[in-house]
Amino acid sequence: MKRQRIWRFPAAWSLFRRDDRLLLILIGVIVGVCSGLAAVVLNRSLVAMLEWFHGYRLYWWSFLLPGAGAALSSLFLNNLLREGAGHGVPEVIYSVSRYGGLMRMRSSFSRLISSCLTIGTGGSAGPEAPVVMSGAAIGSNIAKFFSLNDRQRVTLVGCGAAGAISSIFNAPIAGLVFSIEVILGEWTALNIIPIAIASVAGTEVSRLLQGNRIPFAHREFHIQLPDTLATVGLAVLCAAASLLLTWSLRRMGRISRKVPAPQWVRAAIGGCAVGLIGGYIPVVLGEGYHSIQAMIDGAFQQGLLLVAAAVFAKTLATAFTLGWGGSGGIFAPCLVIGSFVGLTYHRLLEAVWPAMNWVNEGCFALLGMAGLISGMLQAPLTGIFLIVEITGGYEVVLSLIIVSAVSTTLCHYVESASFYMKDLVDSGHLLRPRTDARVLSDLSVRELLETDCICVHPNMLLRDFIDVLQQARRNYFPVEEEGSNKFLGIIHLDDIRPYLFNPGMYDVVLVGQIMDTEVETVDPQEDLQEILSRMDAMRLFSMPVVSHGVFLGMISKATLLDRYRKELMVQTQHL
Amino acid sequence: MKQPLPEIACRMDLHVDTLERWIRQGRIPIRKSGGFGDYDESVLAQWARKHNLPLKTDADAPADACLAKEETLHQAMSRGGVLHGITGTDTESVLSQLVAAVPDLTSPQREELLQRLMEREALTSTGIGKGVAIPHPRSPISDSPPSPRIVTGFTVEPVHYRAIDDKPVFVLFLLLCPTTQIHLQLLSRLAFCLRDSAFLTFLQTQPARRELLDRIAGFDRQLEPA
Repeated sequence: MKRQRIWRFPAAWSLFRRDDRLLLILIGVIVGVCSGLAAVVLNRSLVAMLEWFHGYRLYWWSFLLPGAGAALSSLFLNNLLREGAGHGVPEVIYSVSRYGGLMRMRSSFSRLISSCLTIGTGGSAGPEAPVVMSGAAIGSNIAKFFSLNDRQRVTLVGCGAAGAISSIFNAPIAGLVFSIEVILGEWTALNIIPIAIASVAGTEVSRLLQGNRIPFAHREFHIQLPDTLATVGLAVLCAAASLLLTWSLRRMGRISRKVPAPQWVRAAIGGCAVGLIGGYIPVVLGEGYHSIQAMIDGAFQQGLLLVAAAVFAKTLATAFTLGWGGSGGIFAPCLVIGSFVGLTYHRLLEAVWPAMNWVNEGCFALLGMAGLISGMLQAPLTGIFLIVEITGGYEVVLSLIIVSAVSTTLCHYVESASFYMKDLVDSGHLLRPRTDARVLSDLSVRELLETDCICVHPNMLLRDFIDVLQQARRNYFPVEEEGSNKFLGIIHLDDIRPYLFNPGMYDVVLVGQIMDTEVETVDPQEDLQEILSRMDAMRLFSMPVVSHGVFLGMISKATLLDRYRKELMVQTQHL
Repeated sequence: MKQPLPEIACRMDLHVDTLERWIRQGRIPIRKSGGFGDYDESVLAQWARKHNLPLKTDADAPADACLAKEETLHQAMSRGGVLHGITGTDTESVLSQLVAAVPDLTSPQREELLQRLMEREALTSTGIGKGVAIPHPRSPISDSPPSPRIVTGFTVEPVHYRAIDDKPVFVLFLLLCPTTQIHLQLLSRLAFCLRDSAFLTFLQTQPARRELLDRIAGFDRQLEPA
């Protein structure tokens, strides 16, 4: 290491070698500031884009605008930068699960630009997931720059995500909770502290540049016991709405994949469909924060039917935007649909019990948002803290908790994993820390190999084999072809015990006659989870590992338990 | 402190791949530079203790290497020495003379050893037949010397020892081992030698120390794994 470059390796400084918490906090501040800046940049450019295109909304061809935006964003993302589609958060979770948080540099700006194109022209999506991905990629690349290890890098990815959410919503606690609950899935002091600091940094950046304002300020609500009880019904409705949104997003994705056209053409078709819907119900366009504000203020005039229609229209528009290849997140659409659901519920209540003195409809809009977020993300804490912070409405916290809890639970009954994680769970890529899957995926066959087996040849006499037996420590003897070392089969001591005590057979039986050739083998590249399920299915305790016909060693449950335990001990207790 | 990764892995009883992965994942307080691990001994020791993992110090390593290699009869017998001219007519007097000949023992240890030997004899006689006895304690005595030793004793007159074939005993091998494992190793080697009837005849000539050890070294060579 050259002397002048020592600042590139802060983890090697004696100050941080014993305990790197301080280092993580310091770098966490940098990451928080950078991701906060990214969030501000996206927010500003979205506002500028929306203003710029506002004048064109009146023309008949304005429905083409979202189509053009989505097509451009798809071209930019898929053809120019060659990044996979997707809305961002699952990609971050995937990289944390599989690659210790390694992300590409280009991810730190790609989604910002593509989502800006999609949303700015009117596509129905949110800017949060793209910002989370940028923040996470910034964290990951800063960690890479300082040559930090996987654990530290994952924490910094969490810092980036937290800084981004904190900055875009001016909500530090929501950023912290989202990052831990959704992205990392691990609550340890070692993670929480740097992430909290990054949240503070991200929020502070946003406050410096945009002023300290609560995104959806509201009047004071006087919430009574009947309102609190009524929120259970709202939660059920929210759960239904989130399931509908999940289902339609997935359905749309499947339909669009069947269209025989390039990706950008598909995105254009989806965008135009959104534009058409937006021609009749304009609230579905864009990220929809203005309509949320209107609803919370109680200034939304439309009646029950129209509001209910808006729920479906926004769901459809979101599905068209994201399912057909536009770029953006589901956070903002969730908030919009949630407030529509809340409003619908309020109108319903007023129609059924007009005599009751219900709380202001803005309160239900707010609770609806929490219900939708919690239901979609299956992350109740994120829903609760986000809504408390972005509305400054602490007095509704009891109802918020009920809505979030009930909505999460109901959604979990139907969908075992949240929208973000469904695909990861299905493909076995969701590896939360300290789980069986995590430990098994970390261990490799090579680490478990028992190589102290003695190989024998098929032409060996039983008498000679017994000499080998005396020196052996294991019950398994792989049989290899003389010369070529090709694996032929295996001798298990249990199978040949009767012959061992019969000296008459010593000189007449050959190893080749008593070996088992129908033996199940394992490839060293194979997944441990797979191997274990095969072992369980066939009630085996050990299996030979064979690569290209050559015996490498044995793998056994006994060694696995030993290594598994060590791994678990090391993973569950940090430095 | 810098050490090659395979050495650290050996000290911690881990696979090298596991160690490298732990370093990469940041689970273990070691930094990798090239093929070496750079770490602070006290930090690593503390970490290993906390995670219930072994961390052998360099001082332990030679002892382990010695365990891995089988103890030979020649080494153990030359350590224990050969005693000629044991007198006496009963087990206890013979054994007490043998115990007195064991080198490097304190007198409480000698007392304990004799008592343990007698306990073992009370169980069943260690006279294994053909005039040979292998007295030994059932388990290693407290603070037993780290290396095993065998004291060979020849009696002046054959002693009645209640052996399994009721033949009087003329030669005794007192086995004193630090662990049961080594005890079994040496016992198995000794049993191998005593199966040889030519060796038994040779023993009846009450050979001198030098001749006996040369003969034993020959057996050791036969027993050496190919």
